[in-house]
Amino acid sequence: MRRKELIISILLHSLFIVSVYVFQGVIFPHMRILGLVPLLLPIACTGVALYEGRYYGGITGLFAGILCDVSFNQPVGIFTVFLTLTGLVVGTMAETVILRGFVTYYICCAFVLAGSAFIGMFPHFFITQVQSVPIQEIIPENQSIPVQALITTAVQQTIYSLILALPIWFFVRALGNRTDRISPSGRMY
Amino acid sequence: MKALITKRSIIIASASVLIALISLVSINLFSSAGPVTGFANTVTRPVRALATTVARTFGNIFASIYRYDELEKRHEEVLQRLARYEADLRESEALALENERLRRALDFRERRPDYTQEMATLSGWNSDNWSHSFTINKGYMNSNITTGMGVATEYGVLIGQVSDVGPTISTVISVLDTTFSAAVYVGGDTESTSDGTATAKGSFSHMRNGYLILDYIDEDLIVLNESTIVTSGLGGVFPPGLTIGEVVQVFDHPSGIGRYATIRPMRDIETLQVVFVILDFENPE
Repeated sequence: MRRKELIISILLHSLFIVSVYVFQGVIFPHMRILGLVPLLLPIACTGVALYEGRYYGGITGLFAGILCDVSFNQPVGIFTVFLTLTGLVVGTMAETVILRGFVTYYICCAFVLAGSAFIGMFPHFFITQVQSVPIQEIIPENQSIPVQALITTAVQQTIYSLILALPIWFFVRALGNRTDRISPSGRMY
Repeated sequence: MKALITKRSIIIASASVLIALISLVSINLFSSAGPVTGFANTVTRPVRALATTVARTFGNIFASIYRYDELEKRHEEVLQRLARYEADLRESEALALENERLRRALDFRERRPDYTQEMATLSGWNSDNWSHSFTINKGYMNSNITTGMGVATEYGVLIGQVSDVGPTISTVISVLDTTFSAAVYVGGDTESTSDGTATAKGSFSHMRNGYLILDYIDEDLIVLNESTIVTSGLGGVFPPGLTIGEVVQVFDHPSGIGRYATIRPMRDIETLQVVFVILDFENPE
C-alpha cells in the first residue's frame, strides 16, 4: 500500500470512528430510548477488525476504547483495553477461522456487546458508595441493586445496540471494500 | 344637399328632436331626465357593469405590470425588515433568559452568603447506562474545585457531587447515580432535628426512571407523599438546606424491616445548562 493511500485510509477510519463517537457520546445521550444509550464504538471496532484484520482492528479498538471511556465520563482504561483486545482477537479470527460476512459480523457484535455490558455491570457488585455521610460506612451500596435490574439493563442495552449495528455495517463494509481495492493481495497483515 | 334631405333622414332627425324635446320638457316640468333616459339607462346598465368589470380587471393587470418592480422592491424591503425584527426578537428573548438566569444566580448568592461558589457550565452527559454523571467546564487549573464538593442550581437545588477533577473539566455524579448519598431531613424544615433523619441515595433500579430513593429512615420519622427532601448538613459534605426533591411514594422494605421512598428530583437534571459548585460553606453543626 502506498503512503498516500495509507494516509487516506487512516483519515477515513479516523473520521468514521469520530463520527460514531459523536453519535454515541453526544447525540444519543440526548435521545435516550427507555433511558438507554446504545453502544456504537464496540460495534464499529468489531466491524473494522472483521473486515480489515487484526492490525487495523487493534488500532481502531485502541482509539475507539479511549473515546468510549471518555464518553462514559470515566478514566481511560477498561474499555481502551477491552476494545483493543477485541480488535486484535476478532481480526485474527477473521484472518484464520471465521468468514467475513453479515452473519459473522452480527454474531461477533453480540459477543462484544455482551462483554461490554458485563464490564458495565461488574463494578456494581463490588464498589461501595462514595463516603459522603457516616452511615455508608456501615451499609454497603450493593444492597440496593437487584441483580435482575442489572441484567435487564444489560440485555436491553445489547439489543438496542444490535439494532444500530445494521447501519454501521454498511460503513465498515464500505471501508473494508476500499482497503481491498487499495491492497488486493492482502490487508496490513 | 339634395341627397341629404331625404324622407328617411327627416324621420331620424325628427325622432332625435322629439326625444330631446321630451327630455327637455321632463327636466323642466318633472325635474327628471324623463322616460327615454330612464329606459336607456335600464337597458344599458348590465352592459356598463360588465364593461366596468372588464375595464377594472385590465386596469389592475396593467397597473400590476406597470408597478411590479416597485412592488417587488417594497416586498423585499418588508421581508428584510421582518427578518431584522425576528432576529431582534430572538436576541432579546435570549438576553431575557440570560438576564433571568444571572438574576437568579445573584439572588441565590445574596440569599446564601455563607456559601462560596463557582459557576460552571455543563459540557456533556455520560453515555454510560450504568451511571448518571455529567462534566462541567471547570477543573483544577481554572477553579478551586476539588473532589466531593456539592453541585447545586441557582435555586439551591442539590444536583450532584464532584467525583473527579481534571485540568479544565470535572466530572459530577448526579443525585441519581448509585454512588451518590446525602443525609437529609424530610419536610423541608432543617431546624426540626427532632423529626429524625434519613439518607437520600441513588438507586440503580430507579435511575432510569429519574428517581432516587430515601432510605435508612428513622422509625419515628413521618414521610408523606410530596414531602420535600432537604440536606441536613450532617457529615459536613453538603451544606444544610439544599433541596433534593420530593417524595413520590413510600414503600415497606421487602425484608419487612423499615421503609424506603422514591424521590423525584426537584429539577429536571438533564436540561441543566449552568450549575454552581459549592466550594465552601459554614456548617452550623
